[in-house]
Amino acid sequence: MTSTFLALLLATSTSPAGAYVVDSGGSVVRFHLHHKMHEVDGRSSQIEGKVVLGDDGKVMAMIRMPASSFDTGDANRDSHMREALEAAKFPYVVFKGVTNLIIPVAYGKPIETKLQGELEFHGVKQPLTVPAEISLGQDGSAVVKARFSVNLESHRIERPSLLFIKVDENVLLDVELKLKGAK
Amino acid sequence: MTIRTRFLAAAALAAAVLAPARGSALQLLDDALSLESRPRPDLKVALLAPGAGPSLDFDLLGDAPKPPAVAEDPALRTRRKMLNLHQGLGLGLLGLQLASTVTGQLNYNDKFGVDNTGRYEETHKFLTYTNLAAFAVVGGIALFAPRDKAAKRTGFGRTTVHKIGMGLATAGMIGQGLLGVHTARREGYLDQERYGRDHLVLGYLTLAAMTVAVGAIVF
Repeated sequence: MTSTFLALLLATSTSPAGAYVVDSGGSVVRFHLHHKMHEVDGRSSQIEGKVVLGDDGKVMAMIRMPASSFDTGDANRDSHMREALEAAKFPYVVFKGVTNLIIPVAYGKPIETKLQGELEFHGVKQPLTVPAEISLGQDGSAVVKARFSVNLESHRIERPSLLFIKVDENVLLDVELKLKGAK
Repeated sequence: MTIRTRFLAAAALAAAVLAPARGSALQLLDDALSLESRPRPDLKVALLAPGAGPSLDFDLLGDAPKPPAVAEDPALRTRRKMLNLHQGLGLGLLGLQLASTVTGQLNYNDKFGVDNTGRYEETHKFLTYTNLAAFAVVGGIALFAPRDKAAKRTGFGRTTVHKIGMGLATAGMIGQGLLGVHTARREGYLDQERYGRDHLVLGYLTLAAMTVAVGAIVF
């Protein structure tokens, strides 16, 4: 009797499985770059992304951003950045990753996971593990937060310099994505 | 020990000698000598598993939309080279401006002081003409650097301060040139000292504007 009731309950409960798309309005990718004389912060909200959560808890994610969309609040510096990233030649930064969530998930409670994937940046693909925190909402929305660093040298990016001093080779990325159910 | 068991033991020993991983060979030896019948591990899977990453053979977004307009790379590269040169020469220019101001002060003290030997006059003249020429070259490099078509107009920032500072410094340079020539023409007149002083004050103001402009970029 109890098992029949539980089975019925599971069958009628909303499953988080499905496709989610990035709501670019509420999503942002920030970066922080260190130079001996400056701290540089930039951001972009031009994010295109989709996340598919399977019934078995398998997650596939793909995020794409124009390399020229990052804004540091200084047009001249942004121009240098686009040149260093060769944005005309490699217009997009793409991340693809997978992870597994334990189903069923608790709504509203952050779930810590690690996305195993690959980052294509400056035309160079490199494996990347992104520690992320995923919160699923009962309304079919989700929030993904991640903080990780990317090595510029490994993506063959010529580090920009100021007064002949190059910026640090690691750039810290802070990602906050708001997801909504895909129609 | 049966013949089959001996054969397996010999094969396992041979594998232990030939196999690169000692652990794997010992495992094979254990397996061969074991009396228990257990299923053979799937060697293919076992060998592939450690190196293989997750399958990323999917495309959830389809073809990328037309990328935003970005100036052609060669133009941006030229721009960067020119601005890097502008940066390096700009620091030298600040040094020249400082030297011109210092010799201007010494020349003023000498000319309108007790001695009036004119010993700083040529040095000051040489430094100011060099400074003026360098100013034009350094400014020209920045002005004629290719534009970045994708550049967005941003608010008041370091570059704006730099441009305002250098704009004021340009006005100061022109003013100094005119006042310098005029001061020289007033030789023998009583008002020469006043023009000389104005020229000197303008020199300091130009130096200050340039320092602020360079400082805005550097710090």
